[in-house]
Amino acid sequence: MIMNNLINSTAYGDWWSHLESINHTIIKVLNEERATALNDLDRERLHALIEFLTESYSSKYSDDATTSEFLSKLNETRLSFVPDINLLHCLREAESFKKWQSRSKLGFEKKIQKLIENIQKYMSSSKGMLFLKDAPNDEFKILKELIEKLLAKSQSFLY
Amino acid sequence: MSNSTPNGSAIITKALLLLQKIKQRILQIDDTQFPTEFSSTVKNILVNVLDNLSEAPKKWDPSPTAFHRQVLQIQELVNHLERSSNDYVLWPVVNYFNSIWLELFEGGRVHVFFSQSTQHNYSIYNFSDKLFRKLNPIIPEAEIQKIIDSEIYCLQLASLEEDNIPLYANVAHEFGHVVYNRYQSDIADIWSGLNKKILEDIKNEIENEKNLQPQIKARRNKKILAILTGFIKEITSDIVGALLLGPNFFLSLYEMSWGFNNSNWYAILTPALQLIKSYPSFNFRLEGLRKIAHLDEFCSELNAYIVKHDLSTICKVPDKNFLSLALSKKDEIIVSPESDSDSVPIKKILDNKMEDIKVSIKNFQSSVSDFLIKKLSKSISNIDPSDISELILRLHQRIPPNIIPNGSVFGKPAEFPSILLAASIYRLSLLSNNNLTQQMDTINELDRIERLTGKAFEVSYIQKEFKEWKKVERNFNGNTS
Amino acid sequence: MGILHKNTILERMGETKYQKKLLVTPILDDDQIGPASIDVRLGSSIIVPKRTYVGSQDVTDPEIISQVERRLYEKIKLKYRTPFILHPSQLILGVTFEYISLPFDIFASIVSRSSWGRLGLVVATASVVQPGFKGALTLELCNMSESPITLYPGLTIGQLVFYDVPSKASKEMYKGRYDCPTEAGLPQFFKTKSDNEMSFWRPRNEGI
Repeated sequence: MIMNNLINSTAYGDWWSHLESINHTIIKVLNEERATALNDLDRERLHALIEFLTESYSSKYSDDATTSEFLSKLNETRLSFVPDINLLHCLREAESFKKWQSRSKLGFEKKIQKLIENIQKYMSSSKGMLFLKDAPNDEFKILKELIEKLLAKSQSFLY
Repeated sequence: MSNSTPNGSAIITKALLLLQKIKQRILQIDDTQFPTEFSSTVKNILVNVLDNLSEAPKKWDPSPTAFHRQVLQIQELVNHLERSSNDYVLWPVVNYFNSIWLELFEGGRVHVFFSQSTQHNYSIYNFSDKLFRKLNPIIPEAEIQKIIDSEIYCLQLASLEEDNIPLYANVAHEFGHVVYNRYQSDIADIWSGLNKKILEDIKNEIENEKNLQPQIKARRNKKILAILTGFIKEITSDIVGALLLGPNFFLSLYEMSWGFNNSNWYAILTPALQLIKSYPSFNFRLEGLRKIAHLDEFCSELNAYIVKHDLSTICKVPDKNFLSLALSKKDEIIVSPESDSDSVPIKKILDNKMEDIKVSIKNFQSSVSDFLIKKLSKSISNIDPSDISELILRLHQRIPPNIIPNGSVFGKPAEFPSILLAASIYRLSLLSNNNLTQQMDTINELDRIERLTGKAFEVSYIQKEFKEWKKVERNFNGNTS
Repeated sequence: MGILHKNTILERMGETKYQKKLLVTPILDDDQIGPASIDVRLGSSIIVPKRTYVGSQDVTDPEIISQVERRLYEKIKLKYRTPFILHPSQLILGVTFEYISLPFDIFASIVSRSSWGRLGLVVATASVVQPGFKGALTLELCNMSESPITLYPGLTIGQLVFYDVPSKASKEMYKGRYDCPTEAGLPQFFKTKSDNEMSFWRPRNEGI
């Protein structure tokens, strides 16, 4: 029997691949023995993750089905994921997130914003290579835990 | 899992071996058996993709399991390529529809190849986009753009297509999806004038849901918008179908609706916004199309010729009563899968707004139909009812419906839409008059109709090409003599 | 009973009542109609017998016949402008591009065109077409020469010659085994009543 992760050809399988590829990049960041810098594919995976997090945490409505922004999104080749998952809950339960910035007394929403900002800052920090030694480790540990939770949940959609 | 762990590199090795086998499989596909050149284009793209993928682990260090999965998924596209040969698709039909495509999308930047699906359904998808999405997790986008440098669609014909020839008219609907994509912003402007109140009401209904995170409200709103856009896409495609093939498309859609609850609308949710699909009910679609396809007028004229040829006992023209649709059931929407926690709330909202949605889409239907008639420079395809009656007579006489008598010895070659329509009407008449005691006779007669119609497609296509060649040759010989 | 000449052929083809109409369709070129025949073309459907494991083709045994049908033949649909190479001694079943319909008072025979014959191509060993027949004709094509012959669908490959049947003759129409065929057809044994007699000719277990 071949695992459904490999053979499921629906959007749920695509979502699983998407997460799996992001997870691979995060592992690379946290394990400097493997490489010194991220390559173009890794950058794109991280961008995709940031975009997903930003969209998911946004409570902004699309005002009109005909706004060119929404329609061009529907027409995009790159898939936009809106999985049936309570992301806030996943993050709230993540141990690494609970511990992170525990002394700063930031509210939950502000903490999420800061997490995303720190990753974005790292990604725009250098014009050329994204060196792993410069990566914010704590933030990436949070992302790893989050992605692993999402991967576990995504399995249930494959069966 | 990283590439450097034993499992990681083993998985990459397995995937690379699979790549090699897939490439061998593709190279063995015989190009001479492709009905059009675009299957060869797809073959070349796939070979190019596999060559690039074999370098990907070294260059880009993708996730091994994601890499393995995406390589496995590419096999689906190879299956589609294999099933685009003459062994699977009827090449006269393919060439006919390809010529319509070239007319619709002149300029030649968007192409199509035809393939036989393993499912009994017609569909179209953007092959280039699908390939991009399969490669996206494992190769950088800039590299993918270099490999996939053209826009190609794949039109999938239903399996056992030769046994359901009249359903070919559905191909015109599938082309409609591409027309929609092309004129999307104009069509969106038409829709936007009609849907403001509905969207406002829907937003309010979502907003009033208590104890629900704003992020989930926003997500549901996006999904509903995608569903409504899907309805518009289907309606637009139906109109294109009617514009290209007239009553043919109506009858084909009508036949496809048999056996289903025709009052149900459908929405299929997925985790990817772009892949959410939705369909208005068959009743709604057919009722609107009936007017656009001028069905009732056409059938009434045809009936006069059927009577003239003394075919009334053999062929019953679909009239208003025959095609009357069960409109009494209340339309409702089925939202799946049930496992998606958004499906039940979305269903509730859309069911509440169903009547308003129907009114808006009806108004949209007539506006977009005017727009498309102008844009495509097409009127509803002009099929002469007297021609159809002659072709039905031929079918009844067990002769291919390829010629229309015109007083000359050889007659006038029939056009594809006429052949298709004659077969469709005669077949529907047989099926509707069918009873159990005559079932075997009906089955044999239907089989004959299918074969004779297939023969008519083939020979009329060749006859047309030969005639054009003869004209050129005569002119050439005339000029050189 | 005589051979129909061109004028009669055209007259019968122009007949408006289908029961009396002689039909060979489509005619791509007027030149196909000769003084006393109509040229017919090769269609795109081909059946190629394979070299494979079957018992000898014993037509009195229904079991063997069904084995033969399943294992021996490969059906191909050629695209136009695609060559098919017929090798020396190879036999294939082709079909006419044209569909033929004969009224009750005409029967036809199909013969090779002499130009193909001179190349070594034998067309149509089973040549008689009964009154009332409707369909495309299956052609048995065999290369009797020493070198391969290239065939293309659409080439004129044979000729139909028509004979009138005296009006006082039986008006019994064709009720054979082939029902409006449009593609090359496999041999159909045990499909008519007369085929049942074949079992008479088989060896029996008891002595005669």
